[in-house]
Amino acid sequence: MIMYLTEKVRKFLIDKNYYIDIYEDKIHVFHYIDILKLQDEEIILQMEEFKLTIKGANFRVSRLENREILISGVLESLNITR
Amino acid sequence: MKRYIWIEVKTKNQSRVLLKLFKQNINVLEVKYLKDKLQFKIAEEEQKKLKKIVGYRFHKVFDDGIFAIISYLKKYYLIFLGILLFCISIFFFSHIIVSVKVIHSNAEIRNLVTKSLEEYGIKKLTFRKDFQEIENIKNQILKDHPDRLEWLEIETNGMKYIIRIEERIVTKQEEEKTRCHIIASKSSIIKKIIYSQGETKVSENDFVKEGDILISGELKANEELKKEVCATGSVYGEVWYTTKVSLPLEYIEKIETGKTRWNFGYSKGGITHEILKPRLQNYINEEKKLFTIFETEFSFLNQKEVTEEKRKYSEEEAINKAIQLAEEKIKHKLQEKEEIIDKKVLKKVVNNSTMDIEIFVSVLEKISRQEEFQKIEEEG
Repeated sequence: MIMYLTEKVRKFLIDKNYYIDIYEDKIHVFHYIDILKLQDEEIILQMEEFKLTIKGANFRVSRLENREILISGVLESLNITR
Repeated sequence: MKRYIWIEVKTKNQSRVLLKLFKQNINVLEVKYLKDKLQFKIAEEEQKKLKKIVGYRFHKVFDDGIFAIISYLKKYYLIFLGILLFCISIFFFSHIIVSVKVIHSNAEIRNLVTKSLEEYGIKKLTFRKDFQEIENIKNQILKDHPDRLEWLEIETNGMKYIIRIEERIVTKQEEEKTRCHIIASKSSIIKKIIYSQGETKVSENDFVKEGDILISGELKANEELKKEVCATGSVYGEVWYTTKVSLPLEYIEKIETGKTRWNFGYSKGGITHEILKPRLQNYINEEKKLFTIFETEFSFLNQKEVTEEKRKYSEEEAINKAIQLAEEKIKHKLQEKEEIIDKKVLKKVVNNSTMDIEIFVSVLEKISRQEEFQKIEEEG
């Protein structure tokens, strides 16, 4: 519920199609289109205009909703491929 | 309220399951990674979408939130009901009164207080009252009987009320007798005279008959009446009784064999009942009190095996036994300072199985009583 409200407020304030939040041990991606790869060390998400490659270790999906994913684990790199 | 459930699936590739959930547009709100298992929380309505995922066996583990508590209660309702009933019973039994004990030597006072307590709701099988209520009842009872009760205390001891009372003793001043003699209440030989007022008319070893004046209230000097007082004192005399005792010559004597067994017992109304089955056939109980609950006394019983042997009194033994019985019979009637002086067998008749003995007993007994007399009118 808190997350939902936060997103609503954020959406209202930042009028963007997508956004990626990086926390200490979490990555929150909003408005992805597809999951292309889901592994412990690498996750590839298809965004509207690019591919998002997340590399790291011990990736765990904490929440998986339509267009929204919350991943926990150790982030090493983030790559955008247009 | 939306209902959420936790689903479990066996898998070694947990990411693949999550991808399949994503493909079926199932919103996963929480995920737990277990060894070779994956647990995830979804809305209950999305459970049917899981059927479309082939190759995996999904099953519901438990409900989430309030529904988890409800289903838990439904599953273990008998245990919860038991606990609830147990708590209610504990509350009930710790607040109910099973005994009201009024302690006082006077039965009349006990009845009076018991009745008053019942009027104010202090009786058996009622709920325990709080401190303030008890204080009010106590004060009210004292107010109701100001001439009978001096002090009253209601003590709550577990499931019991113990009531202690102090009786109010209104001392009635005895009407002072102005003129009285001490006279003999029965025929006897005087043995002891104790007096504080009056004039003694008898001496030790004098024989007196019933009604004789022992201590006179008329104080005379040279045969002239000087003063009339109420004579006070006690006179003891030797009084004689004959008592008959019929004694069976044969009797059963219980002889201890030395074999003992233990048992537990409870006694109510003065009768002891054994809790465990006795292991001896003929025995006598030696009781040791352990504790008391609800006026029932629990005790440890040391059971001593005995054998019964038929015995016959010899003539001498029978006489001694009969004298002993006669003495007990007489002693029962004696007051303070009174005693048996002598005893003698007057007659003995031996029948087939009994011996009838007539015993003469001489007793030192108080034979005096106070009696008022009328004032002697002086002649013209």
